[in-house]
Amino acid sequence: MLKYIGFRIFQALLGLWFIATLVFILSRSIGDPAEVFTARNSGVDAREIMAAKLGLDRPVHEQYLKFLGQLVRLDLGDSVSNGIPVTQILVERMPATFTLGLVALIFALAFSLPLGVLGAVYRDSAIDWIAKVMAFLGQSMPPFWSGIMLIILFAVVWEMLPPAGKGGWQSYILPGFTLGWGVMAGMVRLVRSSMMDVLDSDYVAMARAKGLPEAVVIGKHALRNALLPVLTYSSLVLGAFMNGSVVVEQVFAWPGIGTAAVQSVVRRDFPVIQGVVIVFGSFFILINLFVDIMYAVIDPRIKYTN
Amino acid sequence: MANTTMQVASPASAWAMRLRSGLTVMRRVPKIPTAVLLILLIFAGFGQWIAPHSPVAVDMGNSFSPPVWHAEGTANNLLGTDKLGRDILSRLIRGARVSLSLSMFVIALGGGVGVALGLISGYAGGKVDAVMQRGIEVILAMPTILVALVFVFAVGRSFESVILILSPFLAARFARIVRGETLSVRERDFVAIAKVIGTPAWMILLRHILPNVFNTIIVLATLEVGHLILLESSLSFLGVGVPPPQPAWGLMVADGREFLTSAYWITLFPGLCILAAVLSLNLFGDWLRDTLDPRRRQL
Amino acid sequence: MSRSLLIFGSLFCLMLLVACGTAQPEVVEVERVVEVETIREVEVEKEVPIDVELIREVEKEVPVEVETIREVEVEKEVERIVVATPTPAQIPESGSLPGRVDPAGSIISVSSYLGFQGVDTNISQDSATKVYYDEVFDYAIGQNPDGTLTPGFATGWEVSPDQLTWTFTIREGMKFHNGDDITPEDVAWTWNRAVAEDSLGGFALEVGPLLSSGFEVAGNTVSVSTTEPQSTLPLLFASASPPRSVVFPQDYFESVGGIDNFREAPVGSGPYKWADRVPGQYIQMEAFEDHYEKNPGYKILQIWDVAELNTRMAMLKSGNADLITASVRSVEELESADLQVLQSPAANISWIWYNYAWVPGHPFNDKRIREAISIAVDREGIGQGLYAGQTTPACCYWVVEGNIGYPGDVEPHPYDPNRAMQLIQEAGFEGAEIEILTFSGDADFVDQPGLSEAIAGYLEAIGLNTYVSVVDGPVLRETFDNAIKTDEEIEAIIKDEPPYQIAVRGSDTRLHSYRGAHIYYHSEGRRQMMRMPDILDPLLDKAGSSFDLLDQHNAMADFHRLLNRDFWAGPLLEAGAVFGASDKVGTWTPITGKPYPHNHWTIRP
Repeated sequence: MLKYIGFRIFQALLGLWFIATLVFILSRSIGDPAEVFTARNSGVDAREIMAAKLGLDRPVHEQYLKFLGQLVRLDLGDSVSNGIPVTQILVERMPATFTLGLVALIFALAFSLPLGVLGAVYRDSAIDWIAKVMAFLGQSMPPFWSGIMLIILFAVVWEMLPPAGKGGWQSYILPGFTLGWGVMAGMVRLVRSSMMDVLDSDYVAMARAKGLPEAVVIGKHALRNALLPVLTYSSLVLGAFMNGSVVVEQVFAWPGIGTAAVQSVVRRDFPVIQGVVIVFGSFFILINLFVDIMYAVIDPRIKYTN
Repeated sequence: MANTTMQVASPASAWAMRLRSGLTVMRRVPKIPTAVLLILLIFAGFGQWIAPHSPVAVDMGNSFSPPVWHAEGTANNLLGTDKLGRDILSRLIRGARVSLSLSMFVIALGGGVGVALGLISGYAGGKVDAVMQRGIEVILAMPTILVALVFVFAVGRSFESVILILSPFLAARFARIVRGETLSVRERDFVAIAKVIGTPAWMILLRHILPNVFNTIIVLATLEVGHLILLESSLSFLGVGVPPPQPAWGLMVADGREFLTSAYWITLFPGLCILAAVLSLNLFGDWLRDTLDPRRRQL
Repeated sequence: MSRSLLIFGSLFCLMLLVACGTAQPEVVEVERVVEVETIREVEVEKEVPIDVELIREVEKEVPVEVETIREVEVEKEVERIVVATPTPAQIPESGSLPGRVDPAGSIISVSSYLGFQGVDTNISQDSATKVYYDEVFDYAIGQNPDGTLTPGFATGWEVSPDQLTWTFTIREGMKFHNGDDITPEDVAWTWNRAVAEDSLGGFALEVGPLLSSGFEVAGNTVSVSTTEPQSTLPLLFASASPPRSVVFPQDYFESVGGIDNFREAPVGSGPYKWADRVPGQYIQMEAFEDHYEKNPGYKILQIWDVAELNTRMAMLKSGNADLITASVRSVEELESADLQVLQSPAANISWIWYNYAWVPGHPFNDKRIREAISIAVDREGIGQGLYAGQTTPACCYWVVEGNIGYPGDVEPHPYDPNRAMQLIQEAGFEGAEIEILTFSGDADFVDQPGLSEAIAGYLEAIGLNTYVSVVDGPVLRETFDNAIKTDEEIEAIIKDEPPYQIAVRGSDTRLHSYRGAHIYYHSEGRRQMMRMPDILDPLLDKAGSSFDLLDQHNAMADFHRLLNRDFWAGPLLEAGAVFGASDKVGTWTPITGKPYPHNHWTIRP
C-alpha cells in the first residue's frame, strides 16, 4: 500500500509538472508584457529594459529551467505591474477565495440534501418537481446575471444584505449562494439518485420489515448510506468553485484570487496569471490525491495494481 | 430493461433494436422541453427567414425602444431594441444559431477527440492509459474560464478562438467518462470473442465498443450544450466571448447589463432564452439518461 | 459512510484552516470602519465653494501679450492656460482656498480597476492609480478643477537663458506624514531614482530621455539640464501627466529597507495619510492635518475597487458608498434614485485612426476615403442614441475647448451619408473590407466596442464591408505602431490587405496635446503612426521648441486644423465623466478632463 501511495504521489507530482509546463507555454503566448507597461509613454528601449528584467531576452529553454527552479522554491516571481512578489499576492488573496468556496459548498449542501431526499422519498411529487426546478434554475442562468439580480433585490430593493465586498458574515450570503447555486442541480440529482438506490436496497426493505418508523428508516439507514457519493462529490465541487469564482468575485468585488487574475490578464501580468493557474490546478490535483490516499488508507478492499 | 439486452447483443442488431425501442420511447418524451428545443432548432436553422429584421442593422434613432406592451413600444420591434437600435426579437432568433452552433462545434471537435481518446485509453490500458489519464487530469484541473481568458487575449477575440479553447476541456470530460464505459465494455464476452477471431483493434473499437458507449455520449453531449451556452456567457461577461456584433445570447446579456434597471428588455429576453434553452436541455438530457442509460444517473 | 465522512471532514478542516488563516483580522477591520462612520457630525460654517474664480483672476493679470491677439476665441483660452508658462503665476494665498474645516466622518469612494497594490514610481502605472496618488502624494505642479496648472510643492519653475536648464523652487516648511521635513534633497533623490536606468516608470520613459544631467540641489531649488530646449518640460511635472512628479521621504524609505516595505506603508506628503489596505478590496486613508494648503473635508477616506458598474451603483443606492464612478448613461438612473450627479466635463474624447494613411498608394492615403468614413458617422445620432445625449461631436483629436492648441474655429465633421457614398464611388472603394480595431479594457472611455459597433453600422450603410475586432490595448497599439516596423515589413503588410484597418479609440483629454501628438504623429515619435515629415513635423517641432506659450498654442492649433481639414484623424465624440454621489458629498468639483476622481480632498460635507 505504501508503494501505491508513493506511486500516487509521484503521479500527482507529474501532474503538477505538467501544469507548470502548460502554464509556462500559455503565459508566453499571451504577448509581450513589456508592451503593456510601456504602452502610454515609452519607446523601444523601455521594452528592452522590461524584457531584460523579466528574463525574456534569454533563450526559451533557459527561461523554462529558471521558471521550474524558482517554482520548486515556491518563488513565482514578481508582478510586472507593481513589483510585488506573486506569492505574497496569492497568500493575501487565497483566504477570501477559499472561504467563499466553503460558504458556497455549505449553501449547496444545505439546499440539495433536503430537496434531494424529499425528491427521492416522494418521487414525481410536487416537491420533487420544485426541487428539480429550483436546482435547475441555478444551473441555467449565467452566474454574473443571477449575481447582479440578487444584488439588486437583496441589497438595493430590500436592503437586507451588503451589495459587495468581504465584511461581516452577511457579506458571504449573496456571493456564496450565487456560486453554490450553480452546482446545486448536480447535487440534488446526485442525492436523489443515490437515495433512490439505497431506498430500493435490501437492508432498507429489512429495516422496514422490522417495523421501524419510516422517518428512522430514511433518516438513519438510508440517508447515511446515500451521503457517501455526495461527500466525495463535494470535494471535487470545491475545485469547480475555484473556476466559478473568477466570475462571481468580479461581480461581488470579492477580494479573492479571481479578481486578481482578471486584472492580471488585462495587464498581461503573466507572473500573476501563472501563479493563479498553478494554484488552482495544484489545488484540484491535491484534492484528488488526498481523496485517493484516504480511500487507500481506510479501505483495504481497493486493489492497487498499476 | 431494453438496453440491458441491447448491450449483450451483437452490434448490428443493437442498432436495429435501438430504433424499435426508440419509437416506443418517443411517446414518453418530456413535452415542454422538447417543444422548446424544437423551436430553438427551427430558429437556428431558418432564423434568417423568420426574423423580422436584420440582427446587426444599426438604427441609432430607434435605440432603447421598449417592447410593444409599453406605451412607447411599437409593433415593429415586438421585444424592443437595444442600445444601437437593433431589434431584440430578431437578434434572439438569429442568436439561436450562434449560441447553438458554438456549442455544437465545441462538442463536435472536443467531444470527437475526447471520445476517441477515451476509447483508446480505456481499451489499450497499461502505460498508454496511465499517460492519458495524467494528461486528462491536468486539463480538468485547469480553471477553464481563466485559461480561456488568457488564450483569447493572446490570439484575439473571435468565434473560432472560443471554440478552440473550450474544446480541450470538453474533450477531457468526454475522454474520462468514455474511458470508464470502455473499461467495462472491454470485459464483455463479445469483445473477447472478437479478439479471439483476430478482429483488428480499431474494428473492435468502432464496431463493438463505440455502439455500446453511444448512449452515454449522447446524454453527455445534450447536457454539455447547456453548460457551454453558460460558459460562453461568462466569457462574454469577462469580455472574451463571441465578438460583437454577432447576436450570441450570452453576449447580449453581458453587453446589456449596464441597462439592467433602465432598459430591462435588453437583458431579460436573452436571459430568458438562455434559461429556457439550458433548462430544456438539462431536462431533456435527464430524461434521455433515465431512458437510455439508467446506470449512470449521476452523470 | 464513515470513511467518506472522514475524508471529507479532514478536507473541510484543511480548507477551513487555510481560509481562516488570515481572514479573521479583515473582518474586524471592516467593523472598525463602520464605527468611525457613526461619529460623523460636522460643523461647517457657510459653504465656501472652491474658489476657482479667484485663482483665475490672479492668472489673468500676468500675460500682457494677450493684447496682441485679435481673435476673441483665442483670448479666452490664453486666459486659462497661463499657469503653464515658464514663470509661474503668483502662489494663491491659503486664504483663497476653500475655508478650512475640521475633517470628521468618513467617505467611501468606489472606482474600478485601481490596481492599488503598488506605490512605486519606478514601475509604469496606468492612470487609474492616480486616484490615490493624488491623495497620498503631492506633485511638483498641481491642477485646478478647471484643468489649469497651479503650483504644487514647487512654488516656481523657470528655465535658464540658454533654455537648457530648468530650476524648480521647492516650497519651504512642508512636512511628510511621518513628521519629517520635505527638503530639496528628498525631491532630487526621488526624481533621480525615478529616472535611473533600471526604472520603468513614466519619469524614466518620458523625462529621462530628454535629460543631460541628473537632478541637482542648490539652496531651496532643484535643477536639471536637458539636451535640447524643452519648452513643455514642466507639463511632465504636473499632476495631469503620467510621469508622477511625487516626492518620497528619503530617510524613511531607506530606514525601512527600500521599496518592498515602503510599498506596504507608504509615507507621502499629500492631504491624506495612508492608513490601511485590504488587498483587492480598498485602501483607507486618514486626513493629514499638517498639509500646507490642502484641507480634506472628511477624516477617513476609503477607496474601493469594484469592477462591475451595477455593483457600484448598488453600493451607492444602498448607502455602502458615497461617491462612485458611473457611466454617461447612468445619469437618468441616478436622478431617479434621488442621488447626486456630478460631472467632469469633456473627460473623454474618442476618434478614428486610419492605419497607414501616410503610405502613398494605400487607400487611406486617399483623402476622399478618409473623408467618406468620417462623414458617414452620425455623431449627433450616436450621442443621442448610445450615450443618452451626454456627448457632443468632437472637432479635434485629443483637445477640447480650454486646452492648449484647441483651434476654436473648426467644426466637427458633418454627417453626410450621400456625399460619403459618392466619395466612395469616386475613389472606387465600394464594398471594401474594413476592420475596426478597438478594445474594452480601457476604463478611460465607456464602451468603445459599442461605439465601434455603431460606426460599423454606419459604414455598412455606405456600402463598406465592416466588422469589429475587439483586441487588447497592446495589440491595438502594436498594430498602429510603425516605429517597430521596418519599411519592408510595412510594405509586406500593405500587400496583404484587405482588410483595411481603422481604430476607434478613446482617451482622457490633454491640457497640452503636444506630447501625445508627438508620440503618434511625428515621424520621429515613439510610435510613428504617421510618418509625414513634410506636413506634420514642422508644426509639431514649432510647438515643441517655442518657449512662448502663444506660439505653442498657435502651432498646435494649426496642427489640429490640419488633422481636421485633411481628415488625418476622425474625431468622434467629447464625453463627460459622470460620478454618482450620496448626500454626504456636499460640494465637490471633479477635475475637468479626468475620468476618475482625482481630488477627494476637496469634497466638503
